[in-house]
Amino acid sequence: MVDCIFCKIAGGEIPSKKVYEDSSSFAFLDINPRNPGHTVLISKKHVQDIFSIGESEAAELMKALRRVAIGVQKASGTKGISISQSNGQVAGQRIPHIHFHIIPRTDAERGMGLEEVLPVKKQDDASMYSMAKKIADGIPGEKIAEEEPSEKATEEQEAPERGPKPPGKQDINFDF
Amino acid sequence: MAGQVNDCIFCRIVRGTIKSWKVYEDKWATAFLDINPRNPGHTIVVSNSHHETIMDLPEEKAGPLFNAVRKVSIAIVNGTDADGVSIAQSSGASAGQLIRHVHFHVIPRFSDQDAVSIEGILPIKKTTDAERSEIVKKLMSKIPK
Repeated sequence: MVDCIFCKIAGGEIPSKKVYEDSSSFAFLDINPRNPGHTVLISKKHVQDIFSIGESEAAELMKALRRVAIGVQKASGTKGISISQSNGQVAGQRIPHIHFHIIPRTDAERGMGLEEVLPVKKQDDASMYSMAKKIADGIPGEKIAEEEPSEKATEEQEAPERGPKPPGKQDINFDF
Repeated sequence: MAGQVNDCIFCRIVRGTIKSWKVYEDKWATAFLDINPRNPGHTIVVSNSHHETIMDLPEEKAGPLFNAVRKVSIAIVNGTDADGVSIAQSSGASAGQLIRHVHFHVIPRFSDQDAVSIEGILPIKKTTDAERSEIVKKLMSKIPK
């Protein structure tokens, strides 16, 4: 695409600190790093977001994402890596070309993931049920076949565990 | 189901031992509503087999896992009032990973809320050109072929 900064970076028209490239993906250092090693991964083909990308293109991008994440972790020496991908201006996407941020995280920043920063908005059971149905109905492609009845019956008889949770684990309420 | 761990919450959700609000499952991945949603429709997508982080996930499973993330994202914007989605994936405690089974958060986003992203929250730490060249070299040598 003509005016896209990421297309220009992938095409070499705009210089970048490239760290990885394959037939469909390109990764380079973010010029405004949140930590040393902060890398941006893009598809070489101009695709706006996750809603527009094809299945096989998405698969190739994800393979590259995994490789680059491994490289970023090893090179940065940190144990934590945050991966962020925003779709839509409302999600903070500034450049309309699909991209992933791969950010090394230090222990000093512990806990600051997007899901930690956004406040929780508890939903009641009815809302959860209705929402799950809406999403399930909206999934494109074939739906999974139902499980064998005998297998399902056995699994439903087991009660969810309510033992003490290890410190630091997510507090999950199973009172559905 | 093969490849699972007994005391992992997400493995048990995949198996159905722990109840969840499932929205999708296939041979590779399972998606269910987060019970502490940041917005209605906030969904977690996990690999069916147990791997702690994206680095531990075998390459051939990466594509199918992300395919589930892609489908769930489409379903969220088509099926709910969301105007966009944020995808977040954390590896390691210092990135905020609490459950050590690789998972993606798919968080619906709305136009009447702050358009914050994780890279928008974290402060910028500028680097010099020399530092950047050094980092590039290190990275390139560590990325698997």
